[in-house]
Amino acid sequence: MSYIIQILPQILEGLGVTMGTFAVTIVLSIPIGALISLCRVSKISVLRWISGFYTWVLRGTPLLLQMFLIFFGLPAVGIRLFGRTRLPYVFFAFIINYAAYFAEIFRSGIQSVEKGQIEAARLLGFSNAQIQLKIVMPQVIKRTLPSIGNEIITLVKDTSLVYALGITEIFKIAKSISTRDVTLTPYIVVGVIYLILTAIITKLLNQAEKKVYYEE
Amino acid sequence: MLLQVRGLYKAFKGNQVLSDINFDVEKGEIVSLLGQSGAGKTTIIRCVTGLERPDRGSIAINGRFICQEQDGKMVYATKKELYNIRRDLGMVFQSYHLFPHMTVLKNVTLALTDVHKEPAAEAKKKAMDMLTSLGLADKAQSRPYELSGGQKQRVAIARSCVANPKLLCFDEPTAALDPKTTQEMTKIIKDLAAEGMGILIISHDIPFVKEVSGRVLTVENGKIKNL
Repeated sequence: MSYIIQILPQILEGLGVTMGTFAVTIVLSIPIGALISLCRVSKISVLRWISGFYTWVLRGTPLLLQMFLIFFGLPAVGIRLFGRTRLPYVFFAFIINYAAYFAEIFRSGIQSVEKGQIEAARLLGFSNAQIQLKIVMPQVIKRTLPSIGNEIITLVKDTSLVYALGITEIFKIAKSISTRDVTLTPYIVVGVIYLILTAIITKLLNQAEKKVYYEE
Repeated sequence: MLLQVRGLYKAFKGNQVLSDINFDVEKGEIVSLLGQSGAGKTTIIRCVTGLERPDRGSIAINGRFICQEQDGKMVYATKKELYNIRRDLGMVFQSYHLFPHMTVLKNVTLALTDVHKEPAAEAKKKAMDMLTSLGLADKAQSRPYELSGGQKQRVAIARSCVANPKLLCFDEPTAALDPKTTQEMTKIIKDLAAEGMGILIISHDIPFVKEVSGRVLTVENGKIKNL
């Protein structure tokens, strides 16, 4: 126990990067995913084609591979989107990857709203923007929230992939302590930290689901 | 003339669905299009409401054209024109298409507040008056899933009528109703017409249509008989 208390502060130093990666990815990938999903159901075939290709590539290759290509590959060919700061490249990889998953979730949600409701709204005089905002969106949120929750939970754990790039976060710290002290205890400590994080998020998601719930 | 339909033709993928459809609906008149499924009734009502574009012919509501032929070419109302025409138009769908995430009241007020930009209190009063006249005052705070088929239909009528359209279209209004509710629906429709609304009904329910309509037109194989 005293060993755990001794290593805990070191591990928690990495929590900022873990939580930061998580937060930035959620905040940016959900709206971007929503935009891509609108392209997926667009009347304009070029938009449908491009967004379809995007989700195919980003969902069809490992996140770790995308991270490596963006982190090492882009600067190697002279594209330094974010200069020499390293974290933004990580965020970028996570955001474009998760946006693809969210886009597919939103697309299925949008397509699940009865076409008749949209025609009824159109006849009542609503504009396309009003229809999306007042009629489609609330129903999409309700129907997709469980799947979105799944992705959010997965993301908490996927942040550990950052360690592969040599960036310090809780998993990488646990690994170095484990090597230094020849013990698996640090891994158990990080495991518990992930569990606590996902427990909090699960609780919040359940509350959100209750809030948007209505019988159909 | 409230609704004027002239020489309407429509084909889907080479399959001729409507051929030379002509009819009118006057103010305060109840006109029914009677016919079996597949006869083309639904396509007619979808053309009248601007949800479908006919290949030839003209449709005018209150003198404004949804479509017409000019120099042999079809001209359709622009988005803006269609929006203005639809202010005179209401439609009650066969499966109602209520918004499931809103209360009954909100279903009825939403178009008033968001489309017609009326103050919330005024919209609520109008909606409650409408719901009361349809016997639904106690259901204002209910959700659509809590209602019976007949009640849902009355909400759909309230939603379409609250902004005072001049022409109201019904798609198979009795398809899901029992005889008693059908009687009630007949009365509601007649009352709306008595207030001056023009009513266009498509149905295959012969007794109902005979009872409710001022004029019955039979649709067969995409053509109107006995005009």
